[in-house]
Amino acid sequence: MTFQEIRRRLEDFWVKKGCLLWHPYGTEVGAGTLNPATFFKVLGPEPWRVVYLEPSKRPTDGRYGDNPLRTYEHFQLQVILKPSPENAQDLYCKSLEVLGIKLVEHDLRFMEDNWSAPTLGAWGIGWEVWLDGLEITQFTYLQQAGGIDLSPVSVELTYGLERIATYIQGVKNLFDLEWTKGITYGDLRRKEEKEFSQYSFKTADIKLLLELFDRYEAEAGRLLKEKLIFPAYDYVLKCSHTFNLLEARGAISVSERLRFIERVRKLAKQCALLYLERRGK
Amino acid sequence: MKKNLDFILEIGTEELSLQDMRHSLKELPLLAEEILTRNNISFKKTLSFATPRRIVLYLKGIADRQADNLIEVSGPPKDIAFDKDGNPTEAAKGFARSQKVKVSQLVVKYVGKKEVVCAVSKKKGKPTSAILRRVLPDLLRSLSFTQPMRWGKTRLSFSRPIRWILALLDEKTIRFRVENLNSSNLTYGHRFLSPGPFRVRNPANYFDTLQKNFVILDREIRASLIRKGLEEICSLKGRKVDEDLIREAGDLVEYPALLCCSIEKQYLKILPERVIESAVKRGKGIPFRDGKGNLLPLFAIVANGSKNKGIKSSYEEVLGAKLADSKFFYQEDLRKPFEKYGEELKKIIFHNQLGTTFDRVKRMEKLAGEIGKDLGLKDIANIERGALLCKNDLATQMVREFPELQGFVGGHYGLLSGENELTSQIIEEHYLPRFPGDSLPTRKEAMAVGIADRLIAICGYLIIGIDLSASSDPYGVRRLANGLIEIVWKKRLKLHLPNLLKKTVSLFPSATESVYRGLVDFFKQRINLLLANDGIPADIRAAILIDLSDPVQIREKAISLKIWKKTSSASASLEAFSRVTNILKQAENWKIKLTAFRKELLKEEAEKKLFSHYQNMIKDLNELWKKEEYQEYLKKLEELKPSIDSFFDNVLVMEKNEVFRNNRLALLSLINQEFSKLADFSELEITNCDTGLSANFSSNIRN
Repeated sequence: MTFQEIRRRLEDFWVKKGCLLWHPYGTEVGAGTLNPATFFKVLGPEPWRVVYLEPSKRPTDGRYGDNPLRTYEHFQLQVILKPSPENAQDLYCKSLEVLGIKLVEHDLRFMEDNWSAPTLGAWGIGWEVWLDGLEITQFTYLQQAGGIDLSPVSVELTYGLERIATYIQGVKNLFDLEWTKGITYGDLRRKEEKEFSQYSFKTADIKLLLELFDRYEAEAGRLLKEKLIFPAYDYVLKCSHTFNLLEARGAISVSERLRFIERVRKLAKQCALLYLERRGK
Repeated sequence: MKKNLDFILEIGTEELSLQDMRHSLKELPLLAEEILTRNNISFKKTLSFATPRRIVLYLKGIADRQADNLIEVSGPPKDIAFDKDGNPTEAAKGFARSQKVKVSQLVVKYVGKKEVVCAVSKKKGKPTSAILRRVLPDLLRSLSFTQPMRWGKTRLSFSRPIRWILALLDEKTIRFRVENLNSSNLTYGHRFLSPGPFRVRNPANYFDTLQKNFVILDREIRASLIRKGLEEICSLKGRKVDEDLIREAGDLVEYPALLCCSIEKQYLKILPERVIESAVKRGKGIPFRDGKGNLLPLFAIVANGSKNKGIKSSYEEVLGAKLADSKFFYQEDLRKPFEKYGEELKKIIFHNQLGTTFDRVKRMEKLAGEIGKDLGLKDIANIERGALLCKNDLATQMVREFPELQGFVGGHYGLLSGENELTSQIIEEHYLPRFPGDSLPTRKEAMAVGIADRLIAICGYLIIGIDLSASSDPYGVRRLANGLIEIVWKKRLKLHLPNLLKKTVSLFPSATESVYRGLVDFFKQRINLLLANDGIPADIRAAILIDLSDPVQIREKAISLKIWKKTSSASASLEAFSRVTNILKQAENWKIKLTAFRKELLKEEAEKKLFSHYQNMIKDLNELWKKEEYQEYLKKLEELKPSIDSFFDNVLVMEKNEVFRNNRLALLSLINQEFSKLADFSELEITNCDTGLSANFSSNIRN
């Protein structure tokens, strides 16, 4: 089964379960959770079901395209079910079956792993899902976003598509994955990986990034005052990615790190509060 | 007819947190017993079971009803309720009516000194099923968890979402509701092998149903199946395997299926065994060592049910990928000499006031050297080298990947970079003990660095204003101090603690006198608490914690005093000692200046005797003191008791002649010096064995 087929089957499965088929966000994010379709939609009481692909960019994970399992950018398939249904685990298991995985023949395990994204003030309780020892999904009951208690609670499923695909295709190196017939993941992405790794670790202009962080932060604050939640949130995301780049570049000390995280978290929280306040207006 | 029944409560959940599951196993039966007792329901036995997906309470021999209750209500006084002839009055009749009893059933009882009329009625116990229906929701809610969560729309919180509740009292389903969950007589089997649901008839049938549907409820049985599997499938008969790993593996599955996997041999040649072991454990595998302690090229996986071949090869591949990563890190790390990683430490800013990690190791270097000298160690250069390099591994990729290998990686890389064996050992061992009961460093040189590391850290936290007395310990400062004291006590290190603290403070230019005082208080508090944990009573702790200069001595004094106080003669001796201390305090209150003792001024027989007794034993006392044999020392002191008693019975200390008076006080003061070496006896409580009364020594003095 090709990489793109795996994605399509999972999307189809969740669309049939009542999920809206959404799209990736237009600015760099480190995880599907940062997409407004999760960050804002899990707030408040309205039900919400969505599935979307999210190319997730994590500068510190860059390995110049040399590591068989780690990359600067990887593809998450994100599912939000709000409120979390009683059969959330069963639905998830069924979704693996559409990929041809017969669970009776495997060792599928829900291994304790609580998830948190400090820059977003978001955290949840849940598991890493292991398929015969391989981590393929993060399964989380979100408890807070933007530092706000969530009610009802959403369940967030984050499939690591590369991991699942290497398992299904039986390859050891994700760059050998067949994206579609005759084209590998490596053909499409290796060069990009190499360049972004070099940029994140060596070339990124620290001075510029520090300056940008300050300006993005200020702009987010200004827009919040104007009650422009979504534009403000875009700048929060830019802050978050800039911080990730600075970290990969080794430009942030241990104690400074906490302060940067706190600055982004504060803005994210304001966005969440404002969203709740103006919800339905 | 009363009957005994069995009861099963199964709380079906999504995969529980391991810690919560283990905690519930203990907490659930305790809570159940408490509730049953409070509701007057008798039972024979409470048992609990758990798997990742269920917590189960099993009550055996539970009564089918509550015990009956006699209820007594007092009414009007006897002389109002009955007339002179003993006939009931309107008051009695009215009271009986209100209590729904016949007048003939009224009894007369004393309430205080007054005779009153009482109505006694028997309240029949309710059926157990009715009580259970009412109390089970509360039982569910009262379980405690490390981090409870919510799910869906429910307001309930629990370790992980509850998906079903089964409650059966013999054949009867106990129906109750918690939020949107209804109890029933349905259970579920293994998630994939036999999901169910299954209707359960009674408790016996419950156990049967689970067994048939691939759920092994009893964790002891799961563990023993794994043990057996290791012997048979991995051919590890008679070999020791880490019992904690077996337990953990068994607690993570409902139906253990053992797979014996292999480790690619190339990695055993390239990577240190500890790295491979860490990688295996990361994947929840069980590694093995042979009789000589060498890592075997295999590991076990305890899968949840299925033994399909593909599972084994997948686990092997996942480990392979981790080891490939580790190999890459290992080779990258070794590309530069280990000492060069010190440069990286300069980039790790720990805190504005405290500087970088490199500043920290520079302080450690100085302090560890000083400690080494205090301990009489010769190889100070090696200690300093070890201290300087011991945090370098924090900058390596290997430690970033496997933080639990810090220390080990440093020692290993050090050795490969040409550091000598002692330095490498210091780097590896200086973290020990990492937790209470962990092994201690083998080399004193490593202890010196370990102590320096902890002191620098604790002092740093104090300087940046971390509240060391706060109830939580997020920075692990107490753990650091406890580790330090454990090393000093167990390895009997002779260190002058206050001097050491002074030296530590002097390494921080910004530290003030208050930091030093804070450190002293903190250590005093830690030692006090650790002694309390060792069962040393409060009065003894107060009597010895005046002088912190030698922590080893403090502990030994405490133990000796504790043993001595339990001997039959102790309280009488303590009283005799008190007379000495007592009168000296009085003299002090009267502002009498003590003069030097002069033997020729002794005139009474009893005082001459006391002095010669003292003089005869002083050599022995000094010797015992030097040998630190405190119990013998106490016994020797006790020998003075008859002489002290006779002195006080026959000699008037506070006589008018100041010369004689002062000389007698001087004699007592000589003797008192020998007591106070050991402890402040005025803090010790005298336990009077005859009457069981206890009196505080210090209150005797005041009298």
